[in-house]
Amino acid sequence: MKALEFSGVCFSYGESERPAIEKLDLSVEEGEFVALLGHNGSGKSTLARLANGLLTADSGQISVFGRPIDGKNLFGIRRDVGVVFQNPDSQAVASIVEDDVAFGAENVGLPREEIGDRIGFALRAVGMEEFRTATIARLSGGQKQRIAIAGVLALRPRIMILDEATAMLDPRGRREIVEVVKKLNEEGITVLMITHFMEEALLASRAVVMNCGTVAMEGTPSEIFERHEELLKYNLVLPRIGYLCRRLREGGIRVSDTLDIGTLAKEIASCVS
Amino acid sequence: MLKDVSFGQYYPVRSFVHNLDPRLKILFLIAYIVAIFLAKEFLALGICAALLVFGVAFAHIPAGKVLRSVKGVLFLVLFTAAINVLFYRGKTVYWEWGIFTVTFEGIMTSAFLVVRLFLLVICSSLLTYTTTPVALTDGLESLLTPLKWIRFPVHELALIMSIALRFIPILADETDRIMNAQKARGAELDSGGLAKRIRAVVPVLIPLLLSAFRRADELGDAMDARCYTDGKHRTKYKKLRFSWRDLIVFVLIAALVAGVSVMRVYPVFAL
Repeated sequence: MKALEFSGVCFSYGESERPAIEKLDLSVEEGEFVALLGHNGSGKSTLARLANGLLTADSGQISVFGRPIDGKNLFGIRRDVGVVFQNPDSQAVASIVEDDVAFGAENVGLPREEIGDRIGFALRAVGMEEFRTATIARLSGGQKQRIAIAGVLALRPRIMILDEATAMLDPRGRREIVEVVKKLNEEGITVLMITHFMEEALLASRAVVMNCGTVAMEGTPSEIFERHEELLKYNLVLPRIGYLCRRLREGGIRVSDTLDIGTLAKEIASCVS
Repeated sequence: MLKDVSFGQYYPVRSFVHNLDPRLKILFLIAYIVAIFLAKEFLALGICAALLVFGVAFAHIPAGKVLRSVKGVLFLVLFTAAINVLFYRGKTVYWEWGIFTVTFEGIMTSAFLVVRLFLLVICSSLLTYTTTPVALTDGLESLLTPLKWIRFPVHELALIMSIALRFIPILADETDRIMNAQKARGAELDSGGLAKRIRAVVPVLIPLLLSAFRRADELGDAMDARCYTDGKHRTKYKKLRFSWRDLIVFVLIAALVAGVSVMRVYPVFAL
């Protein structure tokens, strides 16, 4: 079943402005892990806001599990489509971890015991159980984003959209988030990860490159990386290690597609010996 | 300087005071403030202070933390005290120069004032140290419930307050960052006359205001994304409960207010 489907969607922020999304067709299957790549202003964040009704499309149709989004079913749509945003400091409503995670569950009017259970479930899923009564302001960036993910998980969404959720984190925080997201996907949640870090795209089962508000390239991450000259046209640069992998392969050394230095080093070592 | 912002900051430990019902803590604070302003002699004020010392001890709040909350208002308090000492007209004159007079009564009044203000600040920060912002606003919401009858948006007000409290440390950090950025571009924030300093604050305030608006926008999106609509269909995870602890403290505070009121009418040591 299609978890998320955009068909012929157009959207612009102002009358005179260039449309942010133009005739976009994109569909995400249930259980898929899709990485959405694109330079600044390519329309990827707008897409996230359209997908859960924070913005309304000018024309075209957006459906979530077969239900087209209209003005009346926003509440249900938002329960299904959770969005985690970029800034770890401006997403939490409360000062204490459990109070913040409870916010969404409180909004939909769940009974108290159920909210308690869901806080436990959500914090376990992001590996933050021992921080249940901690003050959010004292956590690291990666931990704050994991709490943001937990806050969304407490609503038990079927689709999780991460709108550059790792952009403001250090490498360690980024790794924490990526691991959590990978795990959630394995547990059955459909993931749409918007990012400009190519490394993160490698985890996805499919990568989509956006340019000027529409889909420019689509395929498995390896296929996309293969077309690096084309990526350059859309202002996306493959990390150096990616080039190295390509060149090694062109030279007949069989290494896998990786952007991780450690993995590549091991593979080269095993080839040499 | 901004790292010292301790107002409204919860101190997470488990204690007797932390477990009290937030509604009662708010009422206690009001009662306590009434008591310290009713107190007319040092004995009464001393009893108030002793009670507060017990409160802090039972709350497991380190003394340094408490003193830091006083530091913020130290200048204001000392300034007010100095004015009081110099201008209060009393009978027992120690020193006189032009319009300034230092009298025994003046010194006593300002000593009173200093102790009162310190107790006031310590007691208020004890409330915020021991009560999470959510509990505090839940308590306030519950206390203000009667206002719902006249369609006053009590829930919204409570939510606004809890968000405001949450953003204090974030905006304090941001101010620090902006000040450093402006200093790096040659802004002189700590030198020059008063007028110059006030002018130097403008390039800090404007970016701060802009960033606050941007954050508000982002938070609004995040709240919408988590199904926030209004207070009508919401449930609450935390329920407020009145327990035996609350009863004990209630009796103590009631006794304090009554005692201080009696001492006001029948002073033990007349001033």
